[in-house]
Amino acid sequence: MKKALMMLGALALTCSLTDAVANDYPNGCVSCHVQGETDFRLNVVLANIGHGRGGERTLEIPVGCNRCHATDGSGNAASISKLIHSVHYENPNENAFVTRYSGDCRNCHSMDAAAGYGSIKVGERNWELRILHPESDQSKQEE
Amino acid sequence: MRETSWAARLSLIVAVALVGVMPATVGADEYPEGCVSCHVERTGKTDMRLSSLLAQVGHKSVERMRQVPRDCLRCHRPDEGSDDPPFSALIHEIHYDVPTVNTFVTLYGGDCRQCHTMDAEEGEARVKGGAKNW
Repeated sequence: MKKALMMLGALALTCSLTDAVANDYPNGCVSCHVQGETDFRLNVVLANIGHGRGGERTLEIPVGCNRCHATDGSGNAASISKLIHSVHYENPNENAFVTRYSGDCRNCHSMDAAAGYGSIKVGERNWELRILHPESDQSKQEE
Repeated sequence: MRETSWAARLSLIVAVALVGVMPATVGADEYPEGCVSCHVERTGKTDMRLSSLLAQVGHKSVERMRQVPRDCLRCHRPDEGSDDPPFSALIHEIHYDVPTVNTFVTLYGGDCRQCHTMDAEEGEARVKGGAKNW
């Protein structure tokens, strides 16, 4: 009993010390938005809120989002920077990013200490293009 | 009885350690004024106020400053075209360089929100500020 508790204590302390340098989400968006019990991939989440299909064709996330959601606001759609920060931090008492993922900026950003700049993590999309619209894809194949 | 006492003590240690790992309480802000909320006179036995730390590294007097870090920009504002790093780069480097031994990372979790706040409505991060504490 004593040994088990000591092991637990040591483990917990180790975790608390190394937490800062650990990186559970090396590819940012696509490292967190994955298919689990709930399909939380971005293509699915965006389809659920009526986002156009253009997003599905985006290869690098979130870089490709800038095609429409230019960070400086010059695109056809809202700035992705403002949009993403709002989505992840509004209503903090109920927002899963804050309540479950501690709202940690470093889930999405990395810090280049040598240069002194924060940057945005990037990763390749984690979905196939046909996932969301199998009926239309099937009808095309039949043609 | 002794066994129970050990178990209770260790359980307490585990609980405290786990609380440290778990997500911070939503809305709680231990450092509402950023720099001056963390850099205080008694951090253990060390005077961690910026006036003391900067004096130790040979920085000129900061007695005339009022708001931190706002007034740092009176000097730390590189001229256009200069190779000098902006103030933000300087502060980020100091706080994240060599993360395995950097106190801000190892002791304070390297949490961006100790210095920054997020304006969720505007979707923009901002720098916290406060009156000098020296």
